[in-house]
Amino acid sequence: MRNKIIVLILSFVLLALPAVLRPKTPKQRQGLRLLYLSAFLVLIIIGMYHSEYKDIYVNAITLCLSCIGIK
Amino acid sequence: MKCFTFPVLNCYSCPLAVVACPIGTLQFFFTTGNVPYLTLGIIGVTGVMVGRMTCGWLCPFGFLQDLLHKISPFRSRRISRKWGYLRYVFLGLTVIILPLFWLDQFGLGERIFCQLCPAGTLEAGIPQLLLDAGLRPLAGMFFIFKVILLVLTVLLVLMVSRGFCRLICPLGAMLGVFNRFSGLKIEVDKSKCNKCRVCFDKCPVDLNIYEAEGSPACINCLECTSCPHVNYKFKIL
Repeated sequence: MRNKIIVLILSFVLLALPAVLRPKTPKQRQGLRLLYLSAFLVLIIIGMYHSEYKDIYVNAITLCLSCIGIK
Repeated sequence: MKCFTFPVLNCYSCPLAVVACPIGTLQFFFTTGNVPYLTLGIIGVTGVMVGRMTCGWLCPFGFLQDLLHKISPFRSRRISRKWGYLRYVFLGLTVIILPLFWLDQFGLGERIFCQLCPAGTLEAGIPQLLLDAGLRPLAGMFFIFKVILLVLTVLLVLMVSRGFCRLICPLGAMLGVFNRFSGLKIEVDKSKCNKCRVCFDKCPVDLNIYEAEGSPACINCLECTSCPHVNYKFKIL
C-alpha cells in the first residue's frame, strides 16, 4: 500500500503540477525546468541504486503472450 | 539494451525491439506493487529536455501514422482540441489506476493498456504469429479483438492525422505536460507574424502555433519552422 501511495504522489507531481503552475516568464520556465530536471535525475539515481534495470530487462525479454493477444 | 526504457511507443515483444517500452514497463511495476523510479526518471528527463520531440521524430508508431495519413483515400478531418483530454483519461485509467488497484486472486494487477495497445498488435502480435508457427494455435478471440482495435486505429489515423497520438497515447500525455517549460521551445516572432496559417497547414496535429506556444498537443516535429517567422531554440540551463 505504501508503494501505491508513492506512485500516486509521483504521478500527481509528474503530471498535474506542471499543468497547474503554468510558468509565464522565461525565468519561471528556467526555474521549473531546473527543479524538475534535478528531481528526475534523483529518481534515475534511486532507480539505478535499486538495480531496477534488472527487473526491466527480465520483464522485457519475457514474451508477453497475453498482451499481444495470444492466450 | 532492454534493461532501459526509451520514451517511444515500441512494444518490447516486437522481434526487432532493442529497448523496453516505457508504458509497458510502468504497468509492469504498478501491477507488481513497485515504484518505477528509473522509468519515471527517464520519461521525465526526456520531457524536461525536449518535450514531445521523441513523438515527432523517433516513435515508430508515429512514423507509421504519418505514412498512413499520406496515402489516405479519405479527406483529412479536423477535430476539436478538447478531444485531446482523452489521452489523460487513457493514461490515468489504463496505465495508473487500474493496474494499481484492479487485482486478480493472486493480488497482481493487469496491464490494461498493453492489452488494448494497437502498437503491440502491429509490432509484436502479428510478427510473432508470422515468425513462430508454434504460437498460432494459441491465438484466440482476444487476438481477433486486438486486430479489430488495430483496424479501428488505422481507420482513425487515415481520417485524422496522428489520431492515435492526439487522442489515445498515454506516453504523449506524459511528455506533453513538459512542453510548457521544456528546453526545446518553438517561438513565433509575433511582431512579424501576419497569421498566414502556413504553420497551421503544415502542422500534423492541427495547431495554430502562434496561439498555442508550448501546447501539450505539440509533438515538436518542427514542421511549422518552415515559416520564416517561427523559430526554435534549445536551452537547458
